[in-house]
Amino acid sequence: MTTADRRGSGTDHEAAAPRLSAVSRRLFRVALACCPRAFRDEHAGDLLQTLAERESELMGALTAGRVVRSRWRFRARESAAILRAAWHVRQRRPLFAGMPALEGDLVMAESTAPRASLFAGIGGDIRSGLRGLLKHPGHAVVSIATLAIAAGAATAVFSVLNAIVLTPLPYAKPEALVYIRDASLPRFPSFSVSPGRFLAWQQRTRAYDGIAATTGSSGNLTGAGDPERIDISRASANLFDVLGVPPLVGRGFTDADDRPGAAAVIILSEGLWMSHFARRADIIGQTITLNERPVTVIGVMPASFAYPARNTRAWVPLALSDDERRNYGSHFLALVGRVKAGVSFETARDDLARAARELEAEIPDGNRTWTTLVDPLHEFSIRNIRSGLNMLVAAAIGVLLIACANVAGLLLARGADRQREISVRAALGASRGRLIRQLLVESLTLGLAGALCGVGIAYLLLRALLASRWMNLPRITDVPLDGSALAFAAVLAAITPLVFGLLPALQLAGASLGAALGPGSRTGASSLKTRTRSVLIVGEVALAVMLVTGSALLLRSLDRLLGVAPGFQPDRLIAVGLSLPESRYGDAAKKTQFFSSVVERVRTLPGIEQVATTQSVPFLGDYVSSIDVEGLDVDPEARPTSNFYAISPGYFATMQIPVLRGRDFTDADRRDQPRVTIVSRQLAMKVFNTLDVVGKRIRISQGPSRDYGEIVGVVDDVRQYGLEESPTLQTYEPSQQHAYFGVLRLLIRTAQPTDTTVAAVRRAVAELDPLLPVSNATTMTQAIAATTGSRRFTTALLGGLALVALLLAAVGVYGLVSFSVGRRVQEFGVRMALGAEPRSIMRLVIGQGLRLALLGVAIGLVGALLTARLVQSLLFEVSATDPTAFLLATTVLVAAVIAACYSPARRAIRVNPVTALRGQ
Amino acid sequence: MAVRPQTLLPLTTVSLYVLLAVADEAQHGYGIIKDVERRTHGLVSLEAGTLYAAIKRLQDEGLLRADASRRPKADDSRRRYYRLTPLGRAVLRAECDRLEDVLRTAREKRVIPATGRGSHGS
Repeated sequence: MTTADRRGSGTDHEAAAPRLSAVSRRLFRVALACCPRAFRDEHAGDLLQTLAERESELMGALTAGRVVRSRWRFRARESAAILRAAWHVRQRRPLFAGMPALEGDLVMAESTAPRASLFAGIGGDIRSGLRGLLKHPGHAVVSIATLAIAAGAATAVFSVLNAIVLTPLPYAKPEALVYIRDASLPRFPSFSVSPGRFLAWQQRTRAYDGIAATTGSSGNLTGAGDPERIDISRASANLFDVLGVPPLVGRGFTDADDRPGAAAVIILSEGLWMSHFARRADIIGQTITLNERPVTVIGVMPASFAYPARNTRAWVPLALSDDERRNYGSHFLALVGRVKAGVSFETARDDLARAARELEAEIPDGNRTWTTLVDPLHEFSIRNIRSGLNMLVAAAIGVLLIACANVAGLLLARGADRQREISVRAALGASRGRLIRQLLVESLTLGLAGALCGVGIAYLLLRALLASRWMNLPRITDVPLDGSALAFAAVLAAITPLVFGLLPALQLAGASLGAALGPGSRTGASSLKTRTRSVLIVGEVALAVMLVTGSALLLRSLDRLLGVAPGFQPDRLIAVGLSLPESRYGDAAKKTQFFSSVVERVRTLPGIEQVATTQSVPFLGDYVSSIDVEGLDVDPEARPTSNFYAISPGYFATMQIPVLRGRDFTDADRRDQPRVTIVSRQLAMKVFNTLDVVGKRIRISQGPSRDYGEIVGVVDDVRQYGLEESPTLQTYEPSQQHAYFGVLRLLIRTAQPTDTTVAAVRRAVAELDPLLPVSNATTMTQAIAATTGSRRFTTALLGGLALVALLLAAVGVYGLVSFSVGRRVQEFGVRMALGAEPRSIMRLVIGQGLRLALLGVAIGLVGALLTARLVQSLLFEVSATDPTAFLLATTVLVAAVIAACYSPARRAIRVNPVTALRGQ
Repeated sequence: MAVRPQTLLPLTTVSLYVLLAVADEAQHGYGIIKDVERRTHGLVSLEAGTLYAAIKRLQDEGLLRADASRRPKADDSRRRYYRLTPLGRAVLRAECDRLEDVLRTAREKRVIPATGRGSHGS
């Protein structure tokens, strides 16, 4: 007797109870969920325990090789039994004593079912549907796989859409939140808000419960593990009230905290609390060291709170200084406002516009030409990806339709074989409605199976997408395959069968009985069916063409974009951040001294080719300054603006930015020397209309100096904000003449791997100052890739969908042509016997597929032209009617169709005339 | 509530085996499955779902009840033991009588040999 048998005696079982494997448990729980609640409450625990013992018995009795299969067979059998039990318990019917009578139940169900009840006998329909599927496993597998791929893609896209667009922001009444920006056309179509204007909006608006401001900052966290640079947000005291999210523990800021000179306080994110303070409950009131100054922790925000950014690790009071409170020209605040209940968005927007006009009239200096932009916060946060997502959703629906058309085609093809069965049923008294219902139940079974497998595919797809790190998208740390995604899949399971099953069902059930019952009936209604299928194929090809065209357009855009030179050489170029605390490096000379020692030291590290420092790096951060040209008197509000970089000598060599005129800075360009400037090509051309500007003098509104600087060189342009943005005007000055910057980036071109280099730099910095963290190490290649992330994501996803569409369309064409070759075997035999060349027969078969394909391509191209407008906003330097993309899509589709026709065509010419004619 | 056992006949195969399994002593679900397997030489192997649907029905009709006293401490607290109710025993007996009649008829009509084979019990 086996161990299991001993256990089975029921009285001697005292050992620890076996447990179900996780997969089985989950599976059985899902099955149990179908049972009535009362049954579950009473028996579920007991039942699962019994299953656990059965499983452990099974595992004990098996040799290793057979475990997986047997276990899955066990799971399938037991899940099915639970589902059956659910059915019987709900029906309150007596249990089936043994196997149901498989062959007999059909006629019985039809003759005994009361016609009045819609659902009567539906169990029989399901059983006979399942039987039908099992009888043609190939057909079932192809149908389910087709549906699964399409449903999986659709569910994955829906999950992304749901996470980003449909799920409300995690704030109280998020629909009342607006994002407020400044703008001054045409120079600044969208800009941060200056503190003076922020305070004015707070005082002068009436439509808002509150307006809060934040600005990005960072701080050196020491005394809790290694020194670390963390992203901090300076926030006005009312930020948490405006967003309506209270701290998890402790308190938020008060107005008393939000003043210069107030005791330093900080609110931690839950993540920081966890990683650095082990979630200690007594953290409130403790002092931590930020920028080498003590600050008191007063609260912790929950992990769901990620304003202004996901990487914000802590919040400190904004504490605007008196100077800042009067400053209207320096724009650095991000504003979020809460519109009063009952006030419309338009009213709130007009209220702010009125306040802006009032301020402009009262204090023109710094406010002239400036207006405000107000957007719903949610809309603002998804502004860059909305059109891409819309396109993906459209593409997913397209793929779904193609899959439905394919399955409908398969059902029609199979229907020809089933005509006899259906006619028999009709003759036995099954009504037309009843037949349609049975066929639909079969389709529903297919749809359900497809959706179930689709959920699995969606899960894998999402995992792959997340792992690919293309998802540089808001709120995508985790795209859960949550309840709403499952609900979506369930809706698909319910709707798609109606789309693909109704047409075949109507046609089959309506076909003439007499024709079907005769022995030669195989060709009966098939010409009609072939025509229906042809229409489906044309539709499929048209949709596929549209998707492939869109995908080709995006691919060409991406190709163009990646071909854009950033103006510097990003390969093997690393940027790391260094931030000197004012407490120890308040003196400008000390900062200069420290940074030059770091550069000296890093330069001697192995594998380092070039080193330089800068306070601002393209793609990673910007400073905007306006420019005065000596001897040129312009309206201060109309002065040109430039991106400003305070750089060390060797910056251009490190970045490999060509110097076009004049010279680079040298160590001789010190603080005590006259101010010198280097400008970019664009600036020289725009302001002076020539590249020969060395010797001319301009003044950059950056730093305390009011002197004009002499232009000593002209360099080529770089892209500051992204490959898609055209180059801005740029000005450079020696870092020694702007030594007040305590936060710099070290740029290193190295032959070593990034990690090795960063570790070596970390050690070198620690030798100079052990308390100083080295932060934000990133390669410039990564920095550029981050700006193209969402485009890559959209392109890759659409490309994938287009590929699936193409494959499905090809499979559809293959199915139809191969079906029709099967029907025309005799015809081909006769033709061959009459001396037709194989080539002409091939041409005949391929021509049939090609005609349909070309019609589909033509319709698809028209469709693509009509929808070009939707795609245009996603394209970069490519027209939405780009002939290359259209030609490419046409070629790809036609090639796929010919390939799909090839194998049936080969089959057609291999027909043996004698065999074919014998069947005549 | 006086139910005549005969009104519940005939029992389905599953019900009959389940009632037989708990006829001599209380059993838990796994015990019942094993008992049935042993007595039928593996011919009848109940899935857990089938068993519990049957248990539910037998409980609803008052033939079976969960036995609260039979729950050893070391055992999993979720486990339940089932035993026959007096009605269950009466129904089982009535079913067996009915089967006895069936067998007698079968012997008289020489469907099976006149000396019936003994039970397969170990």
